[in-house]
Amino acid sequence: MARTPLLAGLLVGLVLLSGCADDPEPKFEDWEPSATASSEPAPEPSMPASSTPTPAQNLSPRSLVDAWLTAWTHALRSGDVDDVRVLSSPDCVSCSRLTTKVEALYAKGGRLDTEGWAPTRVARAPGSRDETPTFVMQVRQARQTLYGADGNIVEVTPAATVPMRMTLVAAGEGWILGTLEILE
Amino acid sequence: MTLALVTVALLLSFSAADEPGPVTADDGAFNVEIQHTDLGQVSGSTDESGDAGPIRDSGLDAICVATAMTLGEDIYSFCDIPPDEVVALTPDMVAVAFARIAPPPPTLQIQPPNGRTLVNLDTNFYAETGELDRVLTLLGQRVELHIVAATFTWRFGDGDSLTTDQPGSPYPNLEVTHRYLAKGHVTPSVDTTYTAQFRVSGGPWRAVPGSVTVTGAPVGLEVLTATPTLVGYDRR
Repeated sequence: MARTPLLAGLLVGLVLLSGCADDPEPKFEDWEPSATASSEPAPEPSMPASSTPTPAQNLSPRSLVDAWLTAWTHALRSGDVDDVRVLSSPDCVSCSRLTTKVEALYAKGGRLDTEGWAPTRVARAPGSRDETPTFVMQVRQARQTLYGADGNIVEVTPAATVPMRMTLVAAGEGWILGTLEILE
Repeated sequence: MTLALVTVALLLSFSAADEPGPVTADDGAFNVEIQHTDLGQVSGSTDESGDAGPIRDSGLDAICVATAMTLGEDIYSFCDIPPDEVVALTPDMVAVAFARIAPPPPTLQIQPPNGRTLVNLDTNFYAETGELDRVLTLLGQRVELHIVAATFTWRFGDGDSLTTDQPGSPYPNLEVTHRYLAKGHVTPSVDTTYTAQFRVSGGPWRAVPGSVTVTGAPVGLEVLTATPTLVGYDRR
């Protein structure tokens, strides 16, 4: 249940951010992970409860990319993978593996300290189709500290930048993540 | 009593099976869970747009370059990795770079020269290769590549071929020769397979996985017959 306010706040924020639709070329500025998303109380949703959006409702394909990575960052920092699942297709194998892994980590009593993952230079991939929008991006993975159940550091992973491709699929009136790939 | 001990043991074993194991470094390795897609030679995707030129030796992260080219983005503005960011450089990454800076094809030399030879004559072949060492900057690190021509596959144009580990040499050191058995026009060529070693920031040399084969351009060659002709006679 705790995920609902977070997701709603996230979606509201992204909808507001994506409201400036006059610009045909989105500005792909470096996007800082939402450190406040999990370290501060989630904002109250500003829309009526009756219109609580489904995951992909009102989100443009581009906004879904941000939403998914924000949800994943929240999952890394908390072990709560509900939002990632809501924003992912059941057919997204990579998504399932990621959520399973982070759940298993927190079930063992471990935890992660990280600013999470953030997209940079997101661009629509050539050949992307309107029914399955595809984006290619560099994902900046912040430095990550892995703690064991005893509170001791197990491993520190330095920051990295990984080229990724996200392919979205339609869900209701919006979008969810259908495929997540690392490009090599 | 024995039955009670067995029951307790079974309960303990079931209990142990439910306990999650300790947290290990693998628990934090998330990229391995994501599907990896090899872009391979990205020229195919860029060819479709019609604006693809040869892949440049950009000195940038080759994976990033592949991504940028897939996007049709300028690679220099796309792949500026922040200098304070540490990214592990793996042999596989170097192999991608190696494949994208394929050495120039060797020049095939044939003797006798001038595009003509004779039937049943040992025709000499050798290949001249260019500069084979490269220095790149990948992920902000200086990478030296020492590229070696490992094998040469000679196609003589009459159906015969030969693979050697030497490039041949000019006359009179006949190392790679071929006898044509019939006259006619043939187009011999040589394909060269390169392997490489690399080192990062002056460290130890390591092998680059895989090899790169460069196909040589065919060279026209007329195979002629010769008839002995008396051109002079001294009656003394």
